[in-house]
Amino acid sequence: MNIIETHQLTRRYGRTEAVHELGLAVPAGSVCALLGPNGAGKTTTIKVLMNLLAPTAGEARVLGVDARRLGPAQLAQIGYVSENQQLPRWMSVRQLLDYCRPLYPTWDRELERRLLVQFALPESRRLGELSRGMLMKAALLASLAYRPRLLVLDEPFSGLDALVREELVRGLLEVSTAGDWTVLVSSHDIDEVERLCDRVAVLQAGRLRFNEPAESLLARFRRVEILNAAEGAVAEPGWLKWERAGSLMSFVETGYAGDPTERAWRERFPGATLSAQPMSLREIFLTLARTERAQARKGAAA
Amino acid sequence: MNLTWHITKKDLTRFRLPLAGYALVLIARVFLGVALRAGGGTDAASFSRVRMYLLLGVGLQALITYALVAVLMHEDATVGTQVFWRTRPISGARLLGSKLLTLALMFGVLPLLVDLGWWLSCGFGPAEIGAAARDVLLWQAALVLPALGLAVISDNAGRFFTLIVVGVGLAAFTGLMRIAYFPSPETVTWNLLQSRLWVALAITAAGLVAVIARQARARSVSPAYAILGAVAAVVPLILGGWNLDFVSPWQEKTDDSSAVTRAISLSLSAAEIQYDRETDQPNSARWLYVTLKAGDFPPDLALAPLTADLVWSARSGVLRTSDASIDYINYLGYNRQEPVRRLLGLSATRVDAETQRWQEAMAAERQRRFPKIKRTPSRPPEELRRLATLRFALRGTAKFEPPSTPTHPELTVEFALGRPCLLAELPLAATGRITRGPFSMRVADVENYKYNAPKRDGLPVEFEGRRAVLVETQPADSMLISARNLFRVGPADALSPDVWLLTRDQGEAIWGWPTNRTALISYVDGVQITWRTAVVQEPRVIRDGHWTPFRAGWDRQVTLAFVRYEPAGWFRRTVSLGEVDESR
Repeated sequence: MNIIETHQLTRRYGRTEAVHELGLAVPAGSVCALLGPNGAGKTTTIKVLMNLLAPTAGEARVLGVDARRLGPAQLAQIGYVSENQQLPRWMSVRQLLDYCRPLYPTWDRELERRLLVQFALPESRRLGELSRGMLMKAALLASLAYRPRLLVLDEPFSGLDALVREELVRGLLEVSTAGDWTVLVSSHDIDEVERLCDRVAVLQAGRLRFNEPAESLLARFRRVEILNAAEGAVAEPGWLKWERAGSLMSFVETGYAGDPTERAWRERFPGATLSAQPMSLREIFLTLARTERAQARKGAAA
Repeated sequence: MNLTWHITKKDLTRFRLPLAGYALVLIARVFLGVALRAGGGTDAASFSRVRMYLLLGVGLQALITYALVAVLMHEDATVGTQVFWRTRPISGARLLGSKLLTLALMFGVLPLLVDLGWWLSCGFGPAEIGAAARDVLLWQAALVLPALGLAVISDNAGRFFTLIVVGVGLAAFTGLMRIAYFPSPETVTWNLLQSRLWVALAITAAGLVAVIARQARARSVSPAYAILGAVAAVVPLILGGWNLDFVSPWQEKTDDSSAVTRAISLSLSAAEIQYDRETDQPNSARWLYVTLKAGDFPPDLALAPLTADLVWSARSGVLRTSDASIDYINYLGYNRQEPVRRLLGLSATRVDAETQRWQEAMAAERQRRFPKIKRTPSRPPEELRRLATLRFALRGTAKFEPPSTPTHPELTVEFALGRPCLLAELPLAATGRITRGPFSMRVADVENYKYNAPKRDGLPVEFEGRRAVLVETQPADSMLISARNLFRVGPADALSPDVWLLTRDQGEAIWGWPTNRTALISYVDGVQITWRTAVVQEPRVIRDGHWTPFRAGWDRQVTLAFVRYEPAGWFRRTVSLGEVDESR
């Protein structure tokens, strides 16, 4: 069962199309990373999912309900943390929790206490006086303590130092193991996301490039180097960042399938020395982003 | 309800300091009212100063109201994608309900709580408190509703202020365009003006309510902008151009309130226009004087004017106008003399022979020196009672040329009847206070004075007098809408209490208004406080070689009677003016 589903979802701002016919599915229980460069449409997608923006076309369903009809019953099961959210900064941490608690029938006081200690949040301090990291922790706490079925995080690590990022990730990991939660997290901090997610969706220029389990994604991307490749060899579809320097040819294989793929390379480059290195999520993301940019430049020049 | 109250509690906590400031302004206004009643009325300057502070307080209160409404709504803005509440399990309806509850507590309950003590201290009973509370609440609603309508479609102070400026600008622009391209050739009658105001008010309220209700569930603000823009554009057009008078047909069903009023006749005594066809410019301003006489009139009731609407058809158009003023010949007190004298049990005025001679000599002297000035005696003859002179200002801008052939303009007038009742009577000799329910009068100060003028032809032009400073408190007339009181004088105002200076042993009752030097009125949340002076004076004559009062010990005999008028009915009549005399 999918907790989040979008079909042909499109959102325009005037003439600018931020999201184009998006078809995204996030299965229940998964931790899905929504990746993409700036302006890819991640935040817009999340705002449509949270009914903060209305879609221009298409449909988004969250917890089985059309996002435009999300009501208190659904929102009581959704946690939302965004770097852009305007928290009531005049409140103290304690006041924020006291204010949020009656809104959620499933609020877990024990979990609240545990997270307060874990995040080392000063209860009496006003939100406006907290550092950015502390503020995000407070927001996260106020979105975790009722054990939401769906947690939506929009750039939660943006602008945070490594220590705070680590604390947040650790908190999320601990909480996520305690229940059958679904998490959708958009972030630039791919290293942190990589530790959290078991599914990756990549958006580029408002279009969904792929959406698959992280394991399968990491398995099918390889950095390939071929030494002594025959002259005249050209890139094939599915090869990204194809380069040749003298007798060394390199590219990124997007459809690596183990032995069959390596056999195909050897047949194509007989006598050459081949090496295929696994890639991190960060490397995959950067490769995709650069390729997209290069294609955009080429398109603009043409 | 628990969650609604939970959000309200959050907002009250959030705005407790501004709210305390707002409460202080309310308390300060009441405190100024108390000061006016208690001791601030000994001189006109200090009363005026306190009255100015009160006006500033009203302005400050309005300003704080707008600011508080804006920040309260922007705390959980209904527009924008970054607001906290939108991702929490709070429905738009619940949020709106909570905000309305907060607004009701801030701008309804709080002022009423502050005012309650004030009203009780003024002697108000449940009926007066109910009426004053209704007025305060309506006034607050009239302030809060527009602010709320703009606050729900903005998310910060800058945008809120911009919307105010744009709204006012749009309304002003539409109004100016209407005046420039569709000038109204006439002024309007009270009833037509009332119809226009009702329509404009209804459209404004409906637009604001629609916007507020819509924003509780909608995300887009464009339709709200369209609604408010349409309201701002249409309302000036309605106020300037709506011509369907739906108040008159409703009123015509109820021309008289009782059998007593049905028996009263109203006839034309004279109609005269200040207009010289040879020399006056066609568009110059002029006055129309109409004198009416009421017949078959109960002697124990006082007559009070309410409204008068004139309709005059001519080739140059139809002039429709309401009266600028309704004056009784010289003294309004004339028509109140008889019922008040009956009430107070005053016998016929007794004038001794010497006084009579002196009065006749004075009258002859005045007539000799100022033969063109019409004089009326201080005590009205029967034929002058129940005469009403209505003065219409025919404005130069009306572009109405009175027809040379008479076209019988029609006049519809409305009067109220009041039955006088004595609230209290106290001697003018010293300061003091009398209170009867919600009415009170304080003699704040009493001073004696003498007036000397050059003696002429042996006549005594020397007086001594006593001036009393009076501070009166009474329930204020409704500032807002009531069934028969909208933007007109209204029965309550026409029958407002008055003061009489009595010399009982002479059988003399002098209405307080003619001797007024100054009258200042101030309003504090449903309470009207009037400051005025009442003067009574006595001529001085030479006796045994010394200047001495004409009547020895006259000042000890004078008392102040505070009289109010219970509404005893009202009637409306239409009178044809026939041929209107033109004269200078």
